[in-house]
Amino acid sequence: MSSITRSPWISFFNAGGCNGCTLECFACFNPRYDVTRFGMELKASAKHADVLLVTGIVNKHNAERLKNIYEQLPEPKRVVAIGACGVSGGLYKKSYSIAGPVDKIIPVDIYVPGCPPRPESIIDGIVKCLNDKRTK
Amino acid sequence: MHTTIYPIGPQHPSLKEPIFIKLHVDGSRIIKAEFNLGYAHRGVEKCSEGYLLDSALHAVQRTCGICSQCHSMAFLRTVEPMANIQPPTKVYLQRLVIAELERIHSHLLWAGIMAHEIGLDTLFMYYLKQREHVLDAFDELTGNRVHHSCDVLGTMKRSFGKKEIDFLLEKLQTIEPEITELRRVMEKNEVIVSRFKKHGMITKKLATELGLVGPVARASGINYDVRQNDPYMAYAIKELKVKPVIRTEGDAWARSIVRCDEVFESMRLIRKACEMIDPNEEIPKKKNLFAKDGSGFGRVEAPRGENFHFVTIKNNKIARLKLRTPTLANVLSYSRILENESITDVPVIVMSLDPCISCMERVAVIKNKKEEIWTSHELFEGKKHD
Repeated sequence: MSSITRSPWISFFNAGGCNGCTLECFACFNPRYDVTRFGMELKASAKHADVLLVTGIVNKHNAERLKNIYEQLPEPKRVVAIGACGVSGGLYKKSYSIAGPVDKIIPVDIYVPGCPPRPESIIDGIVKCLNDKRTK
Repeated sequence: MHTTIYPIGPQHPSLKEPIFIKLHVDGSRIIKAEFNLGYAHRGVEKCSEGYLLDSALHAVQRTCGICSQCHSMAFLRTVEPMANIQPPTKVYLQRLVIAELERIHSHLLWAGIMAHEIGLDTLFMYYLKQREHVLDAFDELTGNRVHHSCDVLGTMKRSFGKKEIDFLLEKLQTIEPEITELRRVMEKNEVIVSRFKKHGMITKKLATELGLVGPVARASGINYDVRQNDPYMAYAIKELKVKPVIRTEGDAWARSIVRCDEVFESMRLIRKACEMIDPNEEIPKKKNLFAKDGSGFGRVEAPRGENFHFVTIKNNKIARLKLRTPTLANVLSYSRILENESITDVPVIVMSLDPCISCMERVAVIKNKKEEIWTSHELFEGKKHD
């Protein structure tokens, strides 16, 4: 299995979160944190990306869409689950409309906990994807 | 006439949140727009049921990442009278400071995304840069950048001292000239004016018909602001009276200018409130509170408009929570204002209403396909909840 070594391109999917983690993901691309200088670029379509950031707990309506988007990512692909909801279910663990945390739907490589995590930890999570062979 | 169906979403470059828009187009002209929601529904109301008041407050704040303080203020405005507690003025002033800072950060983010939608990515970055200063102020005042979680029943977690207030005022000093310049760009730039003017028109009549709220209604000439019409907490103090920003054009451009001007109004309120806060005054410690059984409602002005909470309490626990967020009131107007517009203007029109989908996703259960009508008595006594 191959691995991504540098300049990961990033796609992003909000699977039903509260926007908090979405904001912090976008904060990574603002002039203060500016991950573009490391060669990371935000891509609108998953077909152009190496790393998929998923925020929020996945609800039943969204689970099928998330699977579709995951299949569109070209190999080698990595998935980062962001926020307490995406990692474990958080506050909405027992809700009626939930299909599960992200790793119940698609394989996840890196978990970034927090409500919401700071941009520093999100960047750290993405960097940990690099040079890391997938075990699953 | 041949119509083509053009789907947008749930994941799309121009959308930051999952929503599905189905456009029926003839050439590039939109004939009909349909909306399919439910991609961000996670059962906030149901998840809050059964919690004690303090824990429920925590859950309510997680409804939205952009306006979490407004949700907690609406909840507290409902629950504090039921628990028979009156926080001191300093707590009210501190809540006002956080809520108005949140309005600044929300409007700056919105203005940035609006610039991004028409391809002005440099302007987007300028707005985000200024927004970081506001987030710094949040970090200093509450310890969190996004979900502030600084409220508790009857008081706040931190008391603002001289150091915090000085930091806040210094940050406002830093962003004010920059935002003035960015507002000038929003008002005068030829690209922006040609893309925003006369698009997404909402007349005063239509806005009244659809019951629109917030900056969208104010840009159509409706003088309605909960802070002014039904003052709550520190807004009831004479010096902190809000002057709503009203425009009459009713297009996307008017909505941008209303939001830009509201930022300056918020800054004025924060400065005034900071003058009134006594840095040495101590705020009360957190206490265990017991609320009597019953129902109540409260509303506040969130960055996007009126935010309404209805709470029923039984045995000191939440028995029913109902949220009506501003986007729920505004989102219905899309199918009306998208008609006869060009498909290239869809991102501008959709974003000009500043939708917050995650706030809005509610569910209604229709039993036996029969319409149920609740009288105000039933609604208030909570009879149908049993």
